[in-house]
Amino acid sequence: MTRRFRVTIGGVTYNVDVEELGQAAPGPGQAGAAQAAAGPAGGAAVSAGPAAAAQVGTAAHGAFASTAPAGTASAAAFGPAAPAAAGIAGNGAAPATAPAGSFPAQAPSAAPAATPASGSPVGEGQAVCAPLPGMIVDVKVTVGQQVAAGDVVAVLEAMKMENDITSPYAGTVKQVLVSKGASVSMNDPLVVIG
Amino acid sequence: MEDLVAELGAREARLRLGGGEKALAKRKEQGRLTARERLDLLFDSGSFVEIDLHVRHRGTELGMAERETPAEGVVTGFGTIDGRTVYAFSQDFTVMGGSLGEMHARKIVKVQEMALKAGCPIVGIQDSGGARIQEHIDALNGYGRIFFNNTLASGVIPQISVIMGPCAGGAVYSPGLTDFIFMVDKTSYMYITGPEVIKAVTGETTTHEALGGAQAHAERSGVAHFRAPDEPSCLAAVRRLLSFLPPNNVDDAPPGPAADPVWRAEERLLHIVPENPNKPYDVREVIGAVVDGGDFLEVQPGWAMNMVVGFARLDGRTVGIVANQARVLAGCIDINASDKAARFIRFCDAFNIPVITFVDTPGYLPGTAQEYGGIIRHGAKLLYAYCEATVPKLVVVLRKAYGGAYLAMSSQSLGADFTVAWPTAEIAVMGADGAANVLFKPGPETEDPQSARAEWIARYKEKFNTPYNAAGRGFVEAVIDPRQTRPLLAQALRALGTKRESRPAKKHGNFPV
Repeated sequence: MTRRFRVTIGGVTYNVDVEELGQAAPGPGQAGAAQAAAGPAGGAAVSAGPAAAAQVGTAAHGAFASTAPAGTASAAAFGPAAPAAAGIAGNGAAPATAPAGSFPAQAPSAAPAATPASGSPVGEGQAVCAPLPGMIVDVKVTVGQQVAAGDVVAVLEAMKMENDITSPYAGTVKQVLVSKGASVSMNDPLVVIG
Repeated sequence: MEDLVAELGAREARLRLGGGEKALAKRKEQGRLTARERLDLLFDSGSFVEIDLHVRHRGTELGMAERETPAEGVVTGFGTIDGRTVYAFSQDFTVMGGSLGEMHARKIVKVQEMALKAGCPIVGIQDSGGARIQEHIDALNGYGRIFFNNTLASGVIPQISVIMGPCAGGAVYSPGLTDFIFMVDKTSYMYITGPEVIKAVTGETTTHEALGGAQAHAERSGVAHFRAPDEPSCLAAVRRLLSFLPPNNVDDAPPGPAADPVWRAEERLLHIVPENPNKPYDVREVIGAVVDGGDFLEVQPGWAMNMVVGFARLDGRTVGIVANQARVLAGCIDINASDKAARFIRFCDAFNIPVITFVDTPGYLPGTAQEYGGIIRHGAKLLYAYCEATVPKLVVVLRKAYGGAYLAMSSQSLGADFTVAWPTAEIAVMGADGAANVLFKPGPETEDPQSARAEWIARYKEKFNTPYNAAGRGFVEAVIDPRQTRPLLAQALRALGTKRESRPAKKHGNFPV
């Protein structure tokens, strides 16, 4: 299961994908890092133990490696890198020794900025995500507004179509994460409904 | 004689109690119907004839010798739905958890064979804990025989599966081999491995509902074609589906009511599809305006919503509808949309149901997820299904029809019989911007490349982003006033009523799966 976090470091926001591999055997000396990741996000975000922590490091690295400044610098989806990181963590190596783990500590510390994504019921609401990569041409809701299921929350221009993005949930708009003109990647959270 | 008849009555009454009064009462408490109540609701009142009520198991091991299993945990038989014969089986969860033993399977196999011989649809109501372990390999063999018959019957009689309880492990593949799967919210589950096994093996935690519930299969996996909030409405939906279907691959579907005049020109059609190709709309409004009485039964409405498929009637005759949905993923064709449409088209072709296609797609969905997911082999299904189909194929090009996607959506090149385009249609090899990227080359003498490019694009649009190039080659039969869509399609459908199209003799093609 992949979770997405929005991490702001030095005023620049990154989207970080974290793949949750479940309860891997804890490696020595890794528990602290795991808690650092899990704690601030309310315990719901990363519950996977050391393997997940190692991946947060890797994911952050992926984000840093990207030069795009906007919120679209989504860390590359985990392919082969994730199992490698997990394996190393499980063997008791420090995350820093993971090939890609150049910034293992910073990512967890930035976790409070994490935004629940992919419609999973985490924290204060459920995110409505972009079904296609494209550009936001209109945001139809503001924080605090009531929406019904099926209401249009934003208009996303993609594939030469002004796609109405509707909320699958009814509730109150808790966060608006994009503004007019923003470029978004597929599955980027646009608004959070609580 | 009276005594013997009385004894028969007593025997039958006992067998019809299934797992006993207590178990039946518990079902009622849970708000669930019993196996027999489900059949009563499915069939015309009082029409169901039960067979093999007295069948008994032959198990001897693991305590089976002394065990009674009334009706072997499955009710089988036939009856009428809207006056037309349908065969059915309904698993009884109150008898050993609806578990499938040797004779339970044999009852299902028999009713499958009866349906196949008679050329009538079969409905299977699934509510079973799985294979009856006490009957070991005999139970497994039973599943295998059911799968075999499902495959023999495929394309000969409509097969419908209704999941009204657990359906796990190998048991899922009988429904998986049938034409349509119905599920009920919160009470039906389908999966190969359940949450407990997943937890033990991979550590992933999930629930029955999240993993294999109606919503999961109606919206994420595409396994379920229809989803209902409760059991009675689910069975009503099965009846409605059957009303559109022919009984077999030779006989016709029953004609619908002739209340809606074929010549009805529909003013609404001038306003549903926006002229601006960047504006979305709901293609189901177009479908509703064209078909008889606006009556459209959408199949898999919650999955791959960028492609709309379903049954309707035109001129009283059942037709299959395939349409790009511009308001979901811009109407792009992707892996799931190809899969959904291809299977639907093959069903229609197998049962002689003409296919009407409404086209408005910018193309295939770009991205690594699509390419790595195998859009080439999945997309090929759509092409194959249209090429292979010999039923009348009618096409309405509403707006965009570009490149490979134009070809895939039942183009004349793939054997469409009758194609019309609205004046809003853009049938071209590619969009103007894309064409400009390849073909527009400003020379050194071009003063303002920007405006020259814009001019080039405008000229391209005027010349190529219209239906008239395709019409000029005869690739569309007519460019029409949208209001005339229904009358023209109905006339074409009548004209094609006697269509014959033969194909090279072969064992079977190698369908891309």
